[in-house]
Parts: sequence; structure tokens; C-alpha cells
Amino acid sequence: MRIGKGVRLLFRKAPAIDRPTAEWTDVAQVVLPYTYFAEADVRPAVFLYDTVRRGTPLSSSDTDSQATVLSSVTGAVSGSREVVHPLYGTLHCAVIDRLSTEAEPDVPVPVTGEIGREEVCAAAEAAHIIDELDGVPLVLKLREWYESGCDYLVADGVQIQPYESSAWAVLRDYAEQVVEGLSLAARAAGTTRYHIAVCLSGQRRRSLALRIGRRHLYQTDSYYPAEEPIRRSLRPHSRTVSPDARVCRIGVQACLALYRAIYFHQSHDRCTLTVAGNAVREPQNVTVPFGTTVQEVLARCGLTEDPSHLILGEIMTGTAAATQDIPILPGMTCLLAFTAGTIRAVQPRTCIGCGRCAEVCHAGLLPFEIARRFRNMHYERLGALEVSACDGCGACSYVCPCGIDLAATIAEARGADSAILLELEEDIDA
Amino acid sequence: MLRASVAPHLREPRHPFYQTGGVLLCLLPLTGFSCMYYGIRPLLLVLFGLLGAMFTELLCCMAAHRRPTLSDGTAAVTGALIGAMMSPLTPLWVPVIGAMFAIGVTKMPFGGIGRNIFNPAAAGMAFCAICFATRLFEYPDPSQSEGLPLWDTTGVITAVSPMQQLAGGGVPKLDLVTLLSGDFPGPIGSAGILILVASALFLFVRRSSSPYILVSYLVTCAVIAALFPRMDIGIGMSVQLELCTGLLLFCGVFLLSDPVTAPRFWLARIVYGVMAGILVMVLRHYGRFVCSEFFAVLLVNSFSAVLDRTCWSLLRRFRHWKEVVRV
Repeated sequence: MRIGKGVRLLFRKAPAIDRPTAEWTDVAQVVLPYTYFAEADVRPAVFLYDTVRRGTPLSSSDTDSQATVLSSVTGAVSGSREVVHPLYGTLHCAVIDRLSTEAEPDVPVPVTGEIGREEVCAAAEAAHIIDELDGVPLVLKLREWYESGCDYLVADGVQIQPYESSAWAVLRDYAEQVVEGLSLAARAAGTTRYHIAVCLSGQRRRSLALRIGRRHLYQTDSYYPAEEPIRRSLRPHSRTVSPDARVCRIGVQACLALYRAIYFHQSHDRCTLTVAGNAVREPQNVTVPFGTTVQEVLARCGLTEDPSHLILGEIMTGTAAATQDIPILPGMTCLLAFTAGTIRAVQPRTCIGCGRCAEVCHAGLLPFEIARRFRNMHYERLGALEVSACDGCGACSYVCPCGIDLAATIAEARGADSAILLELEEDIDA
Repeated sequence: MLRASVAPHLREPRHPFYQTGGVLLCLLPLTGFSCMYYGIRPLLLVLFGLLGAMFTELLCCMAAHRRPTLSDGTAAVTGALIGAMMSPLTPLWVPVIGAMFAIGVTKMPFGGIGRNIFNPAAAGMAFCAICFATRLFEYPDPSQSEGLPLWDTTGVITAVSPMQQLAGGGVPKLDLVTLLSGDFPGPIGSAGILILVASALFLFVRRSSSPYILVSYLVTCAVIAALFPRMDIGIGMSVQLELCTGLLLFCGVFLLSDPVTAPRFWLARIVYGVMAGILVMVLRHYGRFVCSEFFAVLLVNSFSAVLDRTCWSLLRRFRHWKEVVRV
């Protein structure tokens, strides 16, 4: 029995985690946007029938160098089209057909002199590294951490949700490189304290600890959501660190990309993602160039039958996709396909007031009370309940025995609360 | 064809009957234990209460042109709890009346499951206590070897319960073994102390009830019993008698922890338990009825929502204040 925050989810990482990671760099075609950010002011730099090399910018910008996207393959531009991406919105994309003569340069580049903070930031900027945890360019995060202070840098390899195991796979294959990349990121963030947080069972944890040393590896407990376990992973330092120390999170894949950017001068143009779900014949972790379509990845993994639900991301927080014809872009670390009947719409019943939602809320909110006030249109009273502190982990909806979608209601309430604040500001201005 | 769905796409596979089923499961051995002393009559009382509540809920749903909500099991639990709080000598129609009042007045007019302010079982029992006090607080002697007659109980030998002795200024001669074995006059649900403790643990593990409420409630009762014993019987004996007799433990396990009427926030639950403990002990000292725990439950029910909001905002303010001080 547990009295506290979080929920224990099912373990469905097998068999994907037990299989070797497939490297599928020989994709036929990639669909890459000119920019990931809707508000960015970019101009296309490649046009129809142009030949592009891997690492070539597809667009140019006078204001923001991170707004441009690098080509992930060497190939020819065969067209351009609009893609409505569930995570990024409407994107203007270039379609690039890969040329089979592409060479993969994996030769280390000699590094001369000390690698300082500026060198790390410059490498992250040049490689266009995007952190898979939040889809934000790594260089922006490093600068922000350095300016506002970072006490601890934690590489988040926890992955508590049921299916996702891409970070585990990356750690299994490139643990030493990830630690090196993490130490470089810590240098850029201005801290000397860093470690990898994981939630691995016995044998996996021991073999990883043997490779990278125990001081770089911290085990968390397996309660969802992961924010709290990461904080709890700092327990060994509790004597020397105040409880309000600033803990910054970085993705495991971003650490690896940083390592490669510095020692191999490689751009960040591929990602490892878990392909799983009961509609997938061979669930596994795959490494693919950015822009590879979901359709191609699913076809290579094999489908037992046509999926009825396709989820980009994990089962607790992922977004359902309406089509398979969408590219894999930074921030996607999991792809789930389910057959009909697996994900059932729940008919919500009246709240019985069990309080499980408040028990599991790691932000310490009262989800039932927020939902009640929102339902009763007491919008002016929502602010007192600190609705904005909700991060949408969905634990409250998961545990609700009445099937009430509290997470969605709170998201709506957050919108209503913001709208009221805006109105109040307008009134005050007037 | 891909279908849309909203995160989280996974839900904990749990039906509301999971909550209520656990309570019903706990009431089975409790009633069975009482049947060992009094024959089949306690089981009939529980069964009559259960059927009365279900029937009333069905009638209310039909009157309101709503789909019957019997499958969630709350009506069954309400009726069974009312039956289990009765004396084994109570006429069989009394739990039916109590259950009808509980469902027809306390639960359904407020909108049914999840919307009632007061615990229906406590309300039903309070109604019966007010209307049929003489029939409710007469307890048979468990040492009588033969079971109670099913219908006519006029000739049955009654005994003074430890609660009545304490209220009347007497000192019950009960040791710990007798208290734990339930071999003393009292309501159906109060006999099996060990079963009640096991039930509480079972409900905690299933997350059907909160340990915060029960623990704070029992600690408060124990502290008051130790500080203000009703007779000069020593602190240990006073605590033992107060906690193990009457409906104190039963109400803590089943009525106070009712998720609908109890607060949801942990701190509010602790305060709620403390308030209930104080009220129960005050009513035991100065109340008119021998068993008056359900009145205390009804009184604290009305503070649930306020406690939730107040405790939550107080705790938030305290944390903000701590952060400000630290900075």
C-alpha cells in the first residue's frame, strides 16, 4: 500500500526492450518541415529538384538560426506539401527522396584544446539539437540554465509509462557516450553535479552501473508521473542540497546528440523511438532519420491488422493521430498502434468522491474540486485552486473509478482561468 | 480508419462496484460472526436492510425516469450497513424502514450516488434511533446457547450492554479476550473487533477507504478516553472499553470513510477524523442514546467540503510562507 503521490502503471516494455535497436537509415523518402516553429520567420533554401546533402539547412532565417531545419538524408527534393502534424500543427514540408549513394560519416573529429561552455553551446547550436523531452532547442535550454542557475542536471531515462523504452535502448547501446554528453551539457549549464535517472530492474541496472559507474546512475521508484521520481532520485544528496535546489532535466538522446556534435561534428538528424502496441507485429526500438513517415516505420515493423488507434507518444500523454502519413519529428520517442477494441471510450459516471485524483496528483491540486467549479461555471473561483500548476500528466483521469476525464476538464478550466485573468487585466487597464 | 481518443488513453480497470463490493465482502464475516452467537437472525436483518434499500432505489429511479443504478452497489451497502448496526433483537421491518429513509430522503433527492451530503446509512440509523429507540437498544445475552427466534422475540432474555453500564455509572467486567471475542451484548456489527480491524486493513489495501480518517479518529477517541474516563477504571481499561464497545469502531471503518461524504484532501481527512472523534466522545459522555456514533457522523459530514477547501488553501499558504521565509 502506498500513501502518497503517483500511480503504478503496467509494464509493457517487453518485447521491444529485449530486442536490439534497429538502425533504419536507408529510408526511401523523408518529409521535413522548413521550420518546426509556426511563428518563425524562415525562407525556403531548397527548391524542387535541388540536391541536398545530409546536414544542409532546408531554410534560412535572418533572426533565428535555430528555426531552420537540417536535412536528415542526402537526396533530391521531389516536392513540397502541407502536413497537419498532431504535435506541431500545420507544417510546410519539403519531400526529399534519399539517394542510395549516401555515405554515413561516422569518423571522429580530433578535438583540440579544452571544451568550454561556449564550445558546447556552439556545437549544440550548429548541430540543431532539440531536446526530446520538450521539443526545445538544447542551446536555448543550456543558456537559460546557465543564466538562471542550475544546481543539478539530470538526464531523464526514467520512462515510467508502460510502453516507451527508447531511452533505455539508447542507454543500453551508448551509455558511455550519454554520460560524456551529459557532462558536457552540465559544463555548459554551469554545474558540476549531474547524473542519469533511471527506473530499471535488477540485471539491467547492474550492467549499466558497471559500465558508467554508480555515481552517475540513480534509481527512482516506478510511480508515474516521472517528475517526482526525478526529484526523489536526489535523495543521496539530501545532506548537501537544499530541498528547493533547481533540478534541470535533459533528454538522454539530446546528451548523445551533444556528444556526437562535439566529437563527430554530426548534426542532430535522427531519433530513436519505440514502436509498440498490439497492432504491431514486431515491437522494437528503431533509429530513423527525422522526416521518416509513420507509415514507413509501421510497414517495416509489420502490422498484425489495420490499427484503429495510432498514438504519437506514450499512452498516458500521447496524442492520437488521424493519419499514418505524418513525419517523425524531434520530440517523438514512442509510436503506439492498437487494434479496435483495445482503447475503449469510457462512459463517465457521477463522481463518487473517492479522492483518488487528489491522492495521485503530484502537483498537489484538488482535481475533483476544479472539475466541480468548472462544471458549475464558477470560473472566478478557479484561480484560487492554482489550476495553472497542472502539467497534464493524466494520472487523475487514469485512477478515476467513474471514468471522468479530469485531465481534459482541468485543461479546459486552465483555459477559462487564463481568459478571466485577461479580462480582469483589460478591465484594470480600462 | 484511425479513430480519435484523448489522453490518457489507458484507464485503471476499475468499476464503482469495486469500492462497494469490498465493503459488502467485509460485512459478510462480520454478520457471520454475529450469527455464531444469535443464530440466523442477524443475517436476516442485514438482508432485509439490503433489500429495502435496493427496492427504494429502484422505485426512486423509476419515479425520476432514470436508469436503475443498482449495479454500482451503493444502495446494497447502505442497506447492509443499516442492518449491521441494529441490535439482533430489532424487528425485521425496522432496517427496511431505515433503509427506505436513507435512500428515499438522504440519497436520491440529492441526485443519487456521489451527490448526497450526508451518509445515508448514518441518516437511516439516526432516523430509526429517534423513532424506535426502545427496540433498537435492547440487546440479547450472547451466552444463551440457543439462537434467537426469527419473528417473535418477546420472550428473549436481554442483557445490559457495556455501553449501557458505562452510561449508567456502572463498571463492565470485561477483559481484553472477552472484548476481542465479541462475547458481550451489543449491535450486530460491533461484536467482531478483530474482523473490523481486518476489514479496515482490507479496505486500505484496496484503496476503498482512507487510513487518515480512521487513524486520526481512533487516536482522538483513545486520547479523550484516557484523559476523561467515564468511570474510575484506569486509563487502559477506559480506552479498551470505549474503543471496543458500541459502534465506535464500526462507524470509523464503514461510515466515516465513506468516500462520498468524507473529505478528499489528506489534511482535511485528518481534521475530519479528529472532529468525528471529539463529537463521538462528547455524545458518549453527554448524549441521550447509548449508541450515538451515527449522529456524530452526520454532524461532521456537513463540514467535509469546507474542510477540503480550507485545509488545502491553508497548506498552500503555509508552503508559500515557508518559501518566502527561506528566500
